[in-house]
Amino acid sequence: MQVFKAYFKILRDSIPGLFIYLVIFIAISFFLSGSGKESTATTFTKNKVKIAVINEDEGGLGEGLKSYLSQIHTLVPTENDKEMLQDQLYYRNIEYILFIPKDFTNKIKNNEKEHLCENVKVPASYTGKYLDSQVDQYISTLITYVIAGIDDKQALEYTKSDLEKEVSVQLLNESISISKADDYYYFKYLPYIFISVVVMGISPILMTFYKKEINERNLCSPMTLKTKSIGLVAGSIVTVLGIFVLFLVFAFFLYGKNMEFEKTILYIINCISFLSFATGLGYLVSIFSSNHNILNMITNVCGLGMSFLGGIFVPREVLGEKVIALSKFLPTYWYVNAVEAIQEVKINPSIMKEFQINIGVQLLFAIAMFAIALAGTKYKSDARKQVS
Amino acid sequence: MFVRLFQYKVKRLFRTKDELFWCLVFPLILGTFFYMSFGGFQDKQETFQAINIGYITTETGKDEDFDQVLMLLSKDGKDQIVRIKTTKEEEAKKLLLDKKIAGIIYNTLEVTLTVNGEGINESILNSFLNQYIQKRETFTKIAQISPDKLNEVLELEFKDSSYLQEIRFTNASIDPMTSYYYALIAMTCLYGCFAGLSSAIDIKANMSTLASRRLVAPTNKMKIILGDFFGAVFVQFICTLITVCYIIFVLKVDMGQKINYLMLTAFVGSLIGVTTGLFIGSIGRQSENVKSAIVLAGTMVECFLSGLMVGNMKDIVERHAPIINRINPATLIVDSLYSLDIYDTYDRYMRNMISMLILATILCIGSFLAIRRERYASI
Repeated sequence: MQVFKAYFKILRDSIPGLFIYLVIFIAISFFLSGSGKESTATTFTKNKVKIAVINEDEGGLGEGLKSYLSQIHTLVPTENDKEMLQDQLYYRNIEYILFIPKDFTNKIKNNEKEHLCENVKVPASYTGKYLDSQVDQYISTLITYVIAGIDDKQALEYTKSDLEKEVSVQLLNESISISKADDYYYFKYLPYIFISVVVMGISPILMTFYKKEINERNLCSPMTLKTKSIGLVAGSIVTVLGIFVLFLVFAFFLYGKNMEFEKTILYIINCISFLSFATGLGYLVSIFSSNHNILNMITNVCGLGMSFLGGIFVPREVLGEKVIALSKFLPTYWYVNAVEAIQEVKINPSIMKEFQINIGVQLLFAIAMFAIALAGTKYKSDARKQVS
Repeated sequence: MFVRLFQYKVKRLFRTKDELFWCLVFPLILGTFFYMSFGGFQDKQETFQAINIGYITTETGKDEDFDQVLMLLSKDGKDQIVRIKTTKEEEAKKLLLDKKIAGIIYNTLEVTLTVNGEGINESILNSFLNQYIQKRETFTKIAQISPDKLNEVLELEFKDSSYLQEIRFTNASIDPMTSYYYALIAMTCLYGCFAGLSSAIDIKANMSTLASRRLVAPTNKMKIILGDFFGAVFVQFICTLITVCYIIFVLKVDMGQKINYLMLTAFVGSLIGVTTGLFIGSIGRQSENVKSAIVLAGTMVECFLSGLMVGNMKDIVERHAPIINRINPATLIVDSLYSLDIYDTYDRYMRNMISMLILATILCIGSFLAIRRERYASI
């Protein structure tokens, strides 16, 4: 109890610092969950893109292409001024520019197929690829009709009506929504936040206890190492729970309306198992790091490393096979797995088993961390090793 | 005198392991993480992996042509696009539920697709089917209107042609992942704040013992400040260059051709990093630990907003709060590197550079005002 109380006395002192971290990371988690939604390519929901079409075609086919695009996207009227277009593109007022040259109709009629149009797009963007494929499909259909000897007007009409045909996409189950809910993104990004906040929150306090002189002094007391460790671990757990409640309240505040009870419970279980790992990590780090700076280093490397490799910041589909194999050794991998499973629990109850496995693995990681940490305390308490 | 002070600062910085970690080792580690995370991305795109599907068809009413096309596409070999895992409906549904397949293609009375959520593979299937349906429509029409041309048209279909030509204002090729590396360079530059912070601590007698000792000496204070400052910028610049070299030569990321400008950006970036640290170090009386926490967290947020964790963060900020992009040093650095790559004019590049220089000047003047005339008779 003595140690437990002392822990909180030190915590009270470090609250201002901790507060800065909390505010920053709450803000980051808010941004991250918002951006996660925006950065996933939505394919089944058609979104309008702001585009500019510079049509200089002397025949009628260019106008057809332009009017087709204007129906499915937002056409921003512009002049053909390179400087101005660059600016518009730079500030994202336009995301795609299509130039239809003078001889567009002529080239099609003469059966030329290379470089009929030119385009400028936001480098490496989903919208760019999306529009490319639409324009490609349009031109190729149009060419087919023109070559078949159908007159221009008719060809344009046919092309338009053909491109309106789309395969009907059904969902396996009525209750799946095609795009992920906001809470998915919020909880997916939490491990990064948790590692940073938890380690930066509890480790400085624990470090005070493991400072060489203080540790040596404490070792002289009749209090057993076990009692002391229990006090510290209990203190850490209470702090971490406090942090967790804060983030949970924030989640409710943001997404409370749409969150279902069952999902929420599973999220909480998942978070707690990850937090126990993070607590273990914080405990371990505090024993082996001697100052604040080293703490910062370890937190950042672990936090970012586990997030990138575990598939939090980048979708797992993007990661290479070897990286995925490696990431199985990181608790973040299992956390993300569990979050994915939670999304499907409602339509596929059999996935619960997988969820349990994911939780189990995370808990094993946590136990391992605590085991190493406690072994470390024992090692550090050995008088013979204290000489230096 | 100045040279000596400069020399001491450089030596001191290269010997402080903690700071060297942030400025040198951390960017290299993070760059390696990036490489591991996205390095496979290119391979994945090039060696396209066949998508697992379920294919349900009935003997009557099915689209024979589609059947043939799909059989062609699912043949083992280099051009395989789909892999048919099952043709039984119940089994397919079970597999789809467990996400073992990306979708079920039905070829009964019409061609339809059933998916379980969205993703890259799902959208490939969707666009493939759309293309098929649209082409089928086209050919049916042509077969009705002018059947004699059908062969000619079909022949054309099997020729690959590129209707679109992408033009850029320069001819650099931009990889979707390059923005992460730009943000990484920005981060490295801004980590100059640690060197800047230590420079400030080293001349504030109330902050460190070293400073109280140094300020007793009759050396001109301005000389000390300048020596420390330029030493810090120099070391930071070297660290940034090492990171850039690592990215270009070891990780083999294409950073464009304009190496000189890249170096200039790195230099101005380092300058702004150091001045940020100097400024935070000069104002207020918080302990060194608190200050370094503020500096680190602040830099992290700046880098986050410029796209270090999520590549398209910069665009999102541009849409919602463009003012942040104009004053956030990390975004300014990323933007300068970007504009080097995508524009042939240097207008935007210069605009970013000037913004950075103005920011650096403001921070510099601010810290100078905070430090000047600080004297202690006894401390």
